[in-house]
Amino acid sequence: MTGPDSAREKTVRGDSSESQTALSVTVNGKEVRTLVADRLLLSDFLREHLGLTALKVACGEGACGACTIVIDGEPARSCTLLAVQTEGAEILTLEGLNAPEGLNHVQQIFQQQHALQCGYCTPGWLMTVYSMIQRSIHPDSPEVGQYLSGHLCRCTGYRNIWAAVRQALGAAKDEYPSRK
Amino acid sequence: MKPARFGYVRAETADHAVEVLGGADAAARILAGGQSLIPALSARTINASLLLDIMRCPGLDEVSQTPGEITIGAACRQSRIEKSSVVLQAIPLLPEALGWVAMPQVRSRGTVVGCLAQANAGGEVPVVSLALDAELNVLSRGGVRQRIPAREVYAVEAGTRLPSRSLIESASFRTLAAGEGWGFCEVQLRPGHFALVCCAATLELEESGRIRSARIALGGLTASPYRADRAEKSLAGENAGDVSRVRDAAQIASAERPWPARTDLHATGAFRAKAAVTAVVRALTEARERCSRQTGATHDRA
Repeated sequence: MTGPDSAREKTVRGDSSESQTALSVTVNGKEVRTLVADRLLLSDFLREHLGLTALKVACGEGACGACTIVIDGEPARSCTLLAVQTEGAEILTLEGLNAPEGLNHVQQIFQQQHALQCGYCTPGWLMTVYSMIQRSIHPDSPEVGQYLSGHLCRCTGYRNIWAAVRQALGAAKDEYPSRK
Repeated sequence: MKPARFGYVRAETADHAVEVLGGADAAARILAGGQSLIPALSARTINASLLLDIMRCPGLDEVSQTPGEITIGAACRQSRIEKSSVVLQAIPLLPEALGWVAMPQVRSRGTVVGCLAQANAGGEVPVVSLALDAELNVLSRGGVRQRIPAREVYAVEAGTRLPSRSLIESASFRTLAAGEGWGFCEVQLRPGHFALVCCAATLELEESGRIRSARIALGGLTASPYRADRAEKSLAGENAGDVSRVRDAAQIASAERPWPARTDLHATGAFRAKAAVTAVVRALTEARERCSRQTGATHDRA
């Protein structure tokens, strides 16, 4: 885990009147112990403090899904949570799913199906797809639509994403690279 | 968007939360899943001086069943309750309605009791609480515990009527009676959006197929949800398969709203009133079909 950038640390933590709380979380398998401002959003903690910039912040109100990560095995928004709320939690971001080289299995499917264009929303989709694979959701289950309704894409359109997700769900569970 | 400054305390127990809340200023707030509160703080549409996180309080994450009711603690997340076998078996109406609350990525963090406390005009859970005669277990300062019927909590034009600076520790929902059918219908703009209107209904039938009792709760049409008492009474003794009677009851339910129909960017009050009629008809029809399956009584399909 990269340490917090000292310049950023100053802007976030420099003001002594800002109330702070100790935080201990596991992020992509590594334990992080730090002190954070109480009002710091989890999305900003992961991006600004830990340098995990795969997740994107767009709407900031939980509607668009670009900041989706996995917390304790379930997909969740990181922009509608405070970092301090995740005390003791296990957090997985897209960085934790990266293949050692090149694209992982699901990323390859997204590429083949042209399921992304600008790519801003893609990290969020990939985290939801990871959760769906972990839960062995059948590609024909109505749950697929429920999960995918949690993400917005403004350029590719949903048909290709839908096809990529179905293909990913049809694949064997152990084909999705796990961080372990 | 970034929230303005506030303090944050992880409450050790429910009593601790209420004590701190009682000693804080009026802008202190309880924090559960935060799926509505945090975005509101980020947008600065509301302000908080202090957030009291209750998610680690012992006991609040419990689901318990006693004869006739299921009690869900304030720290129980929606995604867990959706899949709880106890809940699915005793009050399947609740998991069905939870499937309409936002998206799975939000339900993984949001709580059932948080929905009751927040009382959003387009919220589903308060409507279910009315249909299932729920009672909220409310803790006030000094260890005072009260059971307050959801009907009283929502008997205000908007928001909730609860003791000031109190905490809803849990909510107790009446379990469905043997043979009691249930239905839920929601009209929304897109999946995950708040309800324009939604209806939760339950029906108990006599052997003859006549209605012994009906419960109809409507949300979204007005800022607070309500039980359609007159519509329920109009159905007593009627044949559950009588489509025109059901439709009449739905008209009554929409018209007997105690407050003005809600108009916002998404729909006019007139549209909501009309959609409410459809929602009630569909919820009652589903409820009747589930009664039929359970009791074996036969009637014509609508």
